Amino acid sequence: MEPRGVRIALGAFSALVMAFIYLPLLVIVQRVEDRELADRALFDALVPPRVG
Amino acid sequence: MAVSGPTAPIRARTKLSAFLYRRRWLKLVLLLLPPLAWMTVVYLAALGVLLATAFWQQNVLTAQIDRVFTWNNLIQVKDTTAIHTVAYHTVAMAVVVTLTDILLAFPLAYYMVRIASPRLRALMFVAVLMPLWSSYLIKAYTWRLMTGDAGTINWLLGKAGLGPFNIAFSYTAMWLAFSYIWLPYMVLPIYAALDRIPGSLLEASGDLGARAGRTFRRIVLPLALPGVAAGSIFTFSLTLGDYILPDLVGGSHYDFLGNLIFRYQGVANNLPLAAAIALVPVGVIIVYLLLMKRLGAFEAL
Repeated sequence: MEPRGVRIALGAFSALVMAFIYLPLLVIVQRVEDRELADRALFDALVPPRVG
Repeated sequence: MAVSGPTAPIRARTKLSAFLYRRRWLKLVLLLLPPLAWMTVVYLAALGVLLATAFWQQNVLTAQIDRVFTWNNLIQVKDTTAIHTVAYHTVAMAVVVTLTDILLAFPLAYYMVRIASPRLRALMFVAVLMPLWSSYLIKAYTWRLMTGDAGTINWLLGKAGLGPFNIAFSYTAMWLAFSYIWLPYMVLPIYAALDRIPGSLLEASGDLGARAGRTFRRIVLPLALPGVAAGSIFTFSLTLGDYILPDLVGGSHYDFLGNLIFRYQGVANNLPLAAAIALVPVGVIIVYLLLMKRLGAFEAL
């Protein structure tokens, strides 16, 4: 059994690594929630660019 | 009343079954033939064509490939300093990303195996795997946003009273993104290796008077090393062959071997030279695999 201090340190470090893993996913979700960006992306996808 | 015997298809199936039962070797050959044929055609033949293409040359007038043996492409790879620099940067990045992922993954996997409750362990396992369900491209684009001047990284550093740092389109940005994207591939083999260590060994070490640090160095680390080596095969080779992330996160200033290959093949249409450059990462990975084999990595895969 590991000493208590080691367990706490490992737990804190694991939490930081999890934050590192999930931070980009949170940014993705935040971007998806950005209505203006989503509307513009939808507009770009649906409306073909004008030629000429 | 006449009793009808088995129908013709059933009789044929029974005869075939009896025939194969008597010839076990034939059954084995038939079983292995499709996957072996697939491996031969898809992997080995493709590698063979790559190798052969590196020794052909491109006709400068017609841009067609002349199937005439030449050393020119390999000599060009050997003599071009720019290719050496790119190869050095690519290998250095693969090494740094691998070391970073080991440092991040080992304590996490150790916590999951040795300290977390079974319920928390299952949750953390799913949490580590979850990012693999999202698109690689989306994650790469996200890191491009996060490492921007007004991105999340600088915002977080600002909250801690640091920065801002100009890391957009830099090696630092690529290092962060690569370390992030390949991290699950390092966590899983280390987790498997640590999980296989019998608890009785650790108890015996403690009973014999070894402290936690000594038990870790003498028991846990040597037994977990094949798992670390197995994970490093993934992180090292995936970084070495990538060309999308350097393009998206590193911008156009930093080339990796993958970008060079892509440009020579896709833009310059010089397939023989691209094939010759592609032999560099193949060679590096072969050397790396031989080293990892000596560490017992293949037993931990």
